[in-house]
Amino acid sequence: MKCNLFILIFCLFTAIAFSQKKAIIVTYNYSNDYYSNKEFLYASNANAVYVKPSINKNFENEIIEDGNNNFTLPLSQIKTASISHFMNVSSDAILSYTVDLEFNRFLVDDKTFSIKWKVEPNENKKIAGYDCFKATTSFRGRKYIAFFTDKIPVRFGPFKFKGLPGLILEIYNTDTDIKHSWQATSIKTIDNYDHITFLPDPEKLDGKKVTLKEFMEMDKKLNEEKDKRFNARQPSGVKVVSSKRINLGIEKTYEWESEN
Amino acid sequence: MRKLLFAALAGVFMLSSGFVSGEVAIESDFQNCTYSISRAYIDSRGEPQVETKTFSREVLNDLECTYVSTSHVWYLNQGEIAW
Repeated sequence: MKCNLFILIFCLFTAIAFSQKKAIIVTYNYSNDYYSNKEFLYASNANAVYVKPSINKNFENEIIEDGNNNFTLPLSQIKTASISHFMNVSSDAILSYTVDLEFNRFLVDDKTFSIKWKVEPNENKKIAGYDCFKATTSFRGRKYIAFFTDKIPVRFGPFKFKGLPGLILEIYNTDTDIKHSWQATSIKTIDNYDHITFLPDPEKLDGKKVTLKEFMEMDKKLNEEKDKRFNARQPSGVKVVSSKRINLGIEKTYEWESEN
Repeated sequence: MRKLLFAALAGVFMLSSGFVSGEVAIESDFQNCTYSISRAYIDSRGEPQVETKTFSREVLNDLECTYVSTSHVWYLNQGEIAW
């Protein structure tokens, strides 16, 4: 309790020192079991945008056969769109400028979650020269461990992770099906930034505005249509007898799914 | 000749009366060939997904099953059949 109070007081002092005209650009190295990429957080102490740049990569890998009529096709291509998450400290809502499964642009209003962190002030780690505290949380079906620094009083981090009393410099999940991790590799401070050019207004971006639930239901329909098309174009006499899709994404489940 | 005629008539009578069946049960020469194909892919938003589909087709023998499954895998891997 004393330790938490000390962190809070320290954050208050550093927040005052970190004036509203200051901002930071953090580069994160994001990686999962399949690929890694550089991602960026542009943040002031009031709001932030997290940018996940597009990827277009080809791979050459071999087909794997287990000798028991089970085949695994290699990952041959990664083609993704650039995605941005707009956040601010005064609200849980996040606006994501993203795409559906067919690369159509949408502005997705995500306000169905609230991350509850558990800070473990006795567990420390030094990242990029900063002393960091450990915090844990469960977020959309996955368990995460984060390390944040109170020396940078920006309450944001990578992806949609926010709400800790300092910048998140490292975060990873502890699940067994896949590993997602983000590690800060550089932090740049900008003095006297121009708010308008530094953080664009998401409302002015081109794309239909929908809620996350509506967006995920659209995804489900697109997947069902894709499955129907796939089943119809199989070789003569071949029938699809079962079909299974496993989501290994950062968000595994959603709040409304657990309600049912 | 009379014996032969008598046997033929008896045969016709037995078939028409249903005493013996005219249909001969033929065992199917086909066997079921079942195989699974999995793929990991990254969706348009960079999220990893794994999809597994199980297929089935009637074939004459194991050799044909091998041909059917491996050619199917090849077509999917080459993009000749879009997944």
